[in-house]
Amino acid sequence: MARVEYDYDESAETWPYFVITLLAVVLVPTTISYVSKIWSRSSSGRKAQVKKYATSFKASNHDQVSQLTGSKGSGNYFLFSDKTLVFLIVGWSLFLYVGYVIHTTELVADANVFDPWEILNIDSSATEKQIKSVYRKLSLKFHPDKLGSLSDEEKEDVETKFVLINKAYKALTDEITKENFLKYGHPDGPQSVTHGIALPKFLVDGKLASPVLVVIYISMIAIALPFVVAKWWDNVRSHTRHGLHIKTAAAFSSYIINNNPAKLINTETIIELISKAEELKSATNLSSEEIEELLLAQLNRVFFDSKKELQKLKVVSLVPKLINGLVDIAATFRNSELCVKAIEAQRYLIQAVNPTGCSDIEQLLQLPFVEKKEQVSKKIPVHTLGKLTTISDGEIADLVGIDKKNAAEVRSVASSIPVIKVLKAEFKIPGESVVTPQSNAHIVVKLLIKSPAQKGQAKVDDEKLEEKETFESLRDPFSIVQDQPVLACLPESPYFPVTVENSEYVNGWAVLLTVQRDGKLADSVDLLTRGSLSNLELSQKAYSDGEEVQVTTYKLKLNSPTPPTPGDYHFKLSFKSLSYLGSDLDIPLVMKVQEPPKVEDAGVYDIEDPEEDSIAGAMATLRGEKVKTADDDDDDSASDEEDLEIESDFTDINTDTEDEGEDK
Amino acid sequence: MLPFSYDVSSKKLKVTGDYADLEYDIQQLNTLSGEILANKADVPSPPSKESFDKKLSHMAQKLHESAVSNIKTGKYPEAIKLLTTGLEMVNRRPKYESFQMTLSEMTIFIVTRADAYMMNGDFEGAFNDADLLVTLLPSIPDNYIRRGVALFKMGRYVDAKNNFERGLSFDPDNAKLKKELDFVLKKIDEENGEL
Amino acid sequence: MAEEEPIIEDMPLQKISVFTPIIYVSIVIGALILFSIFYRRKRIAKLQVMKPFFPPDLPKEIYLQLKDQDPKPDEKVLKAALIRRGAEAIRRLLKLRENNQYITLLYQKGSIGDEFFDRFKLALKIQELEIQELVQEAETYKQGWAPTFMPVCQEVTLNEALRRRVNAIEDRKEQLAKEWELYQEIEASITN
Repeated sequence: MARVEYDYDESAETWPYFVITLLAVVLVPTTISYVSKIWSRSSSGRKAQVKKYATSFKASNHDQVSQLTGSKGSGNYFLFSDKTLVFLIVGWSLFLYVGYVIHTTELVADANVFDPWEILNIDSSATEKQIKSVYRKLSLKFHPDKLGSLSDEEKEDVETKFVLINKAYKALTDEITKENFLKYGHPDGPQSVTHGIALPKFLVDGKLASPVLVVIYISMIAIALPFVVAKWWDNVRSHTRHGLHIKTAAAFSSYIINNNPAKLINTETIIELISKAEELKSATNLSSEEIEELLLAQLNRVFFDSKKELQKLKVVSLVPKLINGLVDIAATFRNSELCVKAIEAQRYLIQAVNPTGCSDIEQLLQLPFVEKKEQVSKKIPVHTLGKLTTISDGEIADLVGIDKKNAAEVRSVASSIPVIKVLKAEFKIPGESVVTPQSNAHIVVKLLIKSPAQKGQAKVDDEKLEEKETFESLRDPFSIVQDQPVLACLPESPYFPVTVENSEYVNGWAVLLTVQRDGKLADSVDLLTRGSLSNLELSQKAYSDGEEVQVTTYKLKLNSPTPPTPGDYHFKLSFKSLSYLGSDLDIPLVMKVQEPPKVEDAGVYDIEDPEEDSIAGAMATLRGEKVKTADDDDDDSASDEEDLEIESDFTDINTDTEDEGEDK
Repeated sequence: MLPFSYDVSSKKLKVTGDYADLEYDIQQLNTLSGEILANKADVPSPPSKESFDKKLSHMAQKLHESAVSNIKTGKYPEAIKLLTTGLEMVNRRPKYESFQMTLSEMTIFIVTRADAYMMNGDFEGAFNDADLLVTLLPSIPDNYIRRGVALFKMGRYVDAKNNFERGLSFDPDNAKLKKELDFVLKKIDEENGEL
Repeated sequence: MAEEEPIIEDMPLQKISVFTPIIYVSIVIGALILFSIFYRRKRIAKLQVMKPFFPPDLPKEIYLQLKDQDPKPDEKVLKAALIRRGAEAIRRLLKLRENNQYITLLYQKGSIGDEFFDRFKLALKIQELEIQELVQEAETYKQGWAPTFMPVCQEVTLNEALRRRVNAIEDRKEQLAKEWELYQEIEASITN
C-alpha cells in the first residue's frame, strides 16, 4: 500500500498558481470594462467640448455645487480618486509579483523527481550504447568498493549516488524497471501519494504556523470565496440592465400600473415617486420623506447650511439617472405623459425652477442673476429666450430686475442655450423611394442646432439636406449620425452639479415619437446626443446666409415594422431638452405607407394599438353583447359625429378604465 | 375585520373610523345596493337598450334644451349651472346600466358645457371639459379645437399648437383647425421674437 | 537527501461490497430529495412573503365579512357586494392583461427584476382563480345567474371608472388653475 502524505506545499508551488488564477479572474474583466469606459468617455470628447458660460454669477450654494461638480471629473484628481483604478494597480502588481514567484520557484527542481537522464548526466536522446558507456564510467567512479578513505557521511552519499545510478541505468535499459518508470514516474513503482493543499509556506512553518490559521485559510477558500462570488452575483441580480436597483424598478412599474389617471401628474408627483428610489436611500441614509423634502427644496431654491446643502445636491445629482430609468420603464408601457412629465421634472430640478404660478416666465428663471421670480417684471410681456435676445440691455435689466451691468451677461447666456430648428423630417426605408408596408423604417431629421438669438430662415443648400445613397450608407444608414461629434449641451445651471455619473443623462435632447391617434408612444425614448454646436457662434448675418451653417442629422430607428396597410399614419416627433427650459420642439410627422409594385402583406402592425386585440377580445367575452349608441340626441354641435365614432372609441374608454387605479 | 357596521333598517353600511380607502368602497357599495334595492328584479338584468332608464333620458334632454336656449341668449352662467345639474343627473344613473349609453348621454352635456365655459371666459373650465372629452372620444377633431383654443387663451401656445396638429391628424382638411393652427404658429413666432 | 523507500509491493484490489453502490446512489438521491424539499419550502415561503401586486382587495373583503355577518344582511345588499367584488376582479384582470405584454417586454429587456415579474405572474393566476370563484358564488344566489353576472360586473367596472374621471373634474380644474397660473398680467391680445 502506498504511503499517503499531506503536503503543505512547502516549496510554494501550488498556491501561487491558485492566487494568480484568482487574480486573473477578477482583474481581466474589471480591466476590460474599465478600459472600455475610459475609451468611450474620451471618444465622446466631453473634456474638450464643454461650452462654458461667460458668467460671473454665483448662486448661494456655489461652493457646494462646485465641490460636487466634476467630482471624478478631470485631471490628476480623476486618477487618484478612482477606486477602480487603485484596485487595478494593486491587483496587477500583485499579479506580477506572484508571476515572479512562480517563475523563480519553477527553476528549483524537486529533488524527489526521478530523472534518469539527469542522474547519468546524458542527453535524453542518447542511444543505448552511449548509456551503457556512461553507466560504466560512473559506476566505476562511485563504486562502494572504492570508498576506503572517506568519512561515513561521504560514504553514505556515494552509496546513495551509486544506487541512483544503478536505478537510472535500469530504468533506461531493463524492461520491468522501464515499465515502472513510465507508469509511475519512478523505477521502484508507485510512490507515496501526495495530496497537495494550496497552503503558503508561512502558514505551516515559522511563527504563524498553527492549526487555527490553517482552518482560517481553508474556510476562506471554502466559505469566503463562494460568499464573495455569491454577493457579486446577487449585486448583478439586484440591479436592472439600466443600472436601476430592482426595488426602484419595481416601485416605478407598480406606480405606472396602479396609477389613477383621473389624477394629474406634475413635477411634485415625479419627485414623490423618485424619492422612493433605493439608490437615494442608500446613498444618504435618509427616509423617502426626507429625500422628498430635499428635492422640493431644490425645486424651490431653498438653501441649507453647508452640510445639508451638500446632501441635497448629492441627492439632486443622482436624480437624472433615476429619471432615465423611469423614462425607460414608462416608455415600455407606452406612457407618453409620464415620460414627458419625468423629463420636465428633471429640468426643473436641474435649473431649480418651480413653474407653479409662473409657468409663463419659467424660461427666464434659468438665467443667471434671476434668483427669485419676484424680481421679474409683471408688465413687460417677454417670456422666451428668443424674445429676450431681441430687447436692449436696459430692457433686460428691467425685465428680470437686475443691475444693468449684468444684462449683457444674461443676454449672452440666453443666446448660448441651444435650440433646435428642423429643416426636414421624413420616414425612410433604406434603398426605397417610398415607405412600404411591413418594412423597417427610420426617421431622418435634418436640423440646425442654433442660438435663440438667431432669427428667421437660414438659406441652407438643398445639397446639405440630401443624403447620397451609397453602398456604405445602405449597409449602415446610421454611420452618418455616428460620425458627428458628441454634443456637449451639459447644463451650466448654477444650481446643479454635473458629475461624471450624471453627465450622460443631462446631455442633449430626449426624442419621443407619439402616435397621434391614441397619444401613446410609438417606440422607446431615444436621445439626440450627436451633432454640431458650431452654429451657436455664428452672427445673425452668417446664419441667414447659410454658408457656414452646419446641418445636424438625426435618425430614429423604429423598432416595429411599418403598418401592413397603405395609408397615412400620423405621429408627433418631440425633442425634449434634458436640461434646459425653452429648448423643446414638437413637429407633426406623417408616415405615408404606399404599396410597392409587388407586395404581399402579412402579420400585424403593432405601433398603432397592440393591446387592442387582447383587450377587445377580453371585453367581448366578458361583455357578451355590444350595445348600440343612443339614437335620440339633440346636441348643438358635434353630437352626430360622436354617435358615429362611439363604437370605435369603445376600446379607448376601456383603456382609460383599465388605467384607473386605486383611489387614494 | 374591516371597521364597518351594517344597519338593518336602512340596509346601509357605515365605516366606523377614519379610513379614506374603505370609505370610498363602502360608499360605492351603498350606492349600488341602493340602486339594486330600488330595482324590482331579483338580480340586475344585463345592460341593454331596453333596461336603460328612458324617463331619466327624457328629463336630461329637457335640461339640455333649456341650457342651449340660455347659451343662445348669452346667459352663460345659467347654462353652465343647468348643464352641471344635468351631468350630475346622468352621473347618478345605476352603475349596472349600459355604460355606452351613459357615456354618450354624458358627453352631450360635457361638450355643451365646455363651449359655455369658453364663451363665459372660464378657460380652465373649458380646458378641463375638453380634456375629458379627448380622453373619452379621442378621434373627434372638434375636441382638439376646444382644448387647443382653451390652452391658447391661457397663454400656452405650444400646447395649443400640438392640439391643433393632433386634431388635423384625424381630419387633415379641417378648415377651422387649419385656421387656428396658422394663428397659433404666428403667435409662437411673435413670442420668440422671430423676424 | 533521503533515499526513497522502495515500495514495490503489489497493490491488492480491495473487495467492494455490493452495498457500496447502493449506499452511494441512495446518498445521492437522498441529498437531491432533501434539496428539492428545502428548495420547494423556500419557494413557497418566498411566495408567501411576497409583496402583493395590488393593494388589498377591499370589495372582496367587504363581501366576505358581510356574508359571515350575523344578522345576515338583505340578500340584495349581498348581491350588490358580490357585484362590486366582481367589478374589482374584472378591473384587476383587465389591468393585468393589458400590462402583460409590457411587463414581459420589460422583463426580457432586463429592466425589472425576477421578483417583480414573479409577483405579476402570481397576481395573474390569483385573479383568474378569483373569476372562477365568483361565477360559482353567483350561482349560489340564483341558478343561472352566472352568464349575466359577468356582463353586469363589467358594466359596473366601466361605469365606476367613468364616474371617477367625471367626479375628478373639479379637483383637476383647481390644481391646473394653480399650476398654470400666469405670473405676468394677461395681455389684451390673449383675451381678445
